[in-house]
Amino acid sequence: MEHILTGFSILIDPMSLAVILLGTIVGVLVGALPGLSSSMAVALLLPFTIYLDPVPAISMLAALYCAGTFGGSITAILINAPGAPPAAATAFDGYPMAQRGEAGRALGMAAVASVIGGMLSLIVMVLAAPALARISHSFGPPEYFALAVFGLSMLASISGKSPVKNLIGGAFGLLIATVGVDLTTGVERFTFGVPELYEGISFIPILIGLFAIAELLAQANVRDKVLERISLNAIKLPSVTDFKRVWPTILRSSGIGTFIGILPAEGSTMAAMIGYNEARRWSKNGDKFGTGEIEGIAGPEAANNAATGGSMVPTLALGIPGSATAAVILGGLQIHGIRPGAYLFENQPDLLYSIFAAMFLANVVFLGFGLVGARLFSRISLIPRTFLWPTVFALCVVGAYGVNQSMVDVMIMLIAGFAGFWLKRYGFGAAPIIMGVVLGSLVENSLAQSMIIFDHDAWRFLDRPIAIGFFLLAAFSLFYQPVFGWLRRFRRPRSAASKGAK
Amino acid sequence: MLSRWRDLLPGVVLLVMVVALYWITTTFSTVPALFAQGMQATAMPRLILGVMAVLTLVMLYQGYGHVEEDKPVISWRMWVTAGLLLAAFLLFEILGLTLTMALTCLLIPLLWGERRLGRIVIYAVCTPVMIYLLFTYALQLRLPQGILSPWLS
Repeated sequence: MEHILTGFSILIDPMSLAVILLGTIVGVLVGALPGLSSSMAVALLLPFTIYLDPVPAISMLAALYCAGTFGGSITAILINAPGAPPAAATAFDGYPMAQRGEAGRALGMAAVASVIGGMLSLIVMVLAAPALARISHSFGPPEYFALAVFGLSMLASISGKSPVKNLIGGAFGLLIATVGVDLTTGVERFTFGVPELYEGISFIPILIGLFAIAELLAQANVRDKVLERISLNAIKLPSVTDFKRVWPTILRSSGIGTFIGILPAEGSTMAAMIGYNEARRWSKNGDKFGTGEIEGIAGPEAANNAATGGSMVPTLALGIPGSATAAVILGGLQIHGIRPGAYLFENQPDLLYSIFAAMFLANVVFLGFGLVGARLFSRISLIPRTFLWPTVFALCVVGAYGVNQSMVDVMIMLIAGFAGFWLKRYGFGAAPIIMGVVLGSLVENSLAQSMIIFDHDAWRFLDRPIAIGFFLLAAFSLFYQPVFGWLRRFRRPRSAASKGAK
Repeated sequence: MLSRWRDLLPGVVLLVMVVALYWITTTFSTVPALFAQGMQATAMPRLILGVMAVLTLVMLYQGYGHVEEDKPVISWRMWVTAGLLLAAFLLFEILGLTLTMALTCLLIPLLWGERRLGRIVIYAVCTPVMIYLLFTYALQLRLPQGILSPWLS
């Protein structure tokens, strides 16, 4: 109880409250801007949190994560331009509703569903994270290595066209993490004689480059398009009838979103898509989805916000990020010297409750924004990109420079940005690379320690049941798609042949 | 035949990169086994490079016989913007962050088709000034100011 009160005391500290509110407002603003995602916003804000105490800093990032996920739905509904990928499914039915003059009802439902999804997942976070951390107490290096392999294997199933490309991205991230002086042997690796690389490549410049600079270059390639903006006549809460109709959808999607969030690497976008598909599958009006069904908004919105709380569970309990944005927050924890896992809950038990309080407040605040301030926030999308992106570039430069006050970091940011642009063009996403970078040291250290424990006999991993469990899960996540695909292909000709025989 | 091989270009680039980086690992120093604790500094990078090579071959195998997806044409604006960002990096040391930001805030909008000159000028002045004030005074971050150092440090 004492820890809960200490954690919640963040809400009565004016400075902490101010930064959490700032994170929430920035989150909704950024979320509403097409092209700027919550991952990018957290990446951009991360360098500046170094000047804050760890608890308010991480709380601000968590609040931004929540609010950014919701913010995307505003422009998805009003102008059919999802501010962030998790809101893409919301546009399917949100925009048709707005077109027929029900923008207020759609936004109201998006806000309410998001808040319910977010709150339920926060309860799960507070209950599950310490429990998972307690379980992780029995984990040694072999289990952590197996867990990290499982986390990386999940990249095969995150959103993106090619699982193999996601895995290559993850491996590339791991490779980036090997740059610098090897702590065990003292040998320089890929430093090319640059002293600034001896301690490894800083996480923040890579993050900013891959997310923000790559997008800036992509925006240079975009022609201005005139977005049709729907007037927002009335903002109103969903009616009782609406609520009676959608509550099973909201509860189901909240469960789906929380579960998907807890899975390593799976984020809000996948949660929203599955939430939408399940809402359509269970709805009596499934065939009308895409024409402006209110369940088509409740499903993805509850799911994508539920994934935010869910993704914080493995991030805080195990140090394995639950999503791309959670990976950035994990980087923030590392920068602030906070070690996730069982020790976090023993040494700083109030941090969990501070994060809970921050995300709780973010949910309450964006409910207000969703119901009252949507008209204002929808105008943000009208900021010309010709003025928006040079500002983003300026913030990128200061952000990359500020951490170590080094121009080498600015150069790394630009290289990461150029590489990110080309990688994206060929279907390699930024998120898997970030996951690889974040997990790099855990993978290498736990493997090295495991090999010492096992006296360099890798087969002795098979003596560890938990590690075997994670390896099996990793194998399942890597091979279930090709195996099921092969089985489908195998069955199809047989069934076709049997029909022909009949 | 090459036109019916999706991901051929990134696959070849990745394989060349893997080979080049593997060669670089051969230049790493080695330490006695006792100090290495059984895992030399080359072990992890080589393991990762091996995994990357296998995955790249899988990607190439999957892409064989499939036509490359159409990609949006890269406009001259992207190339010039990339050049501008690179030039900005080279100018940071000489002109300083604030002045270079002012230049990028002036040139990128013009390059991207913004024609309201008055607004561009106001924007190009106000944005770097606000960033300078925010970071120098509020966050106490010392930004390199190049030729403006005598006045802005």
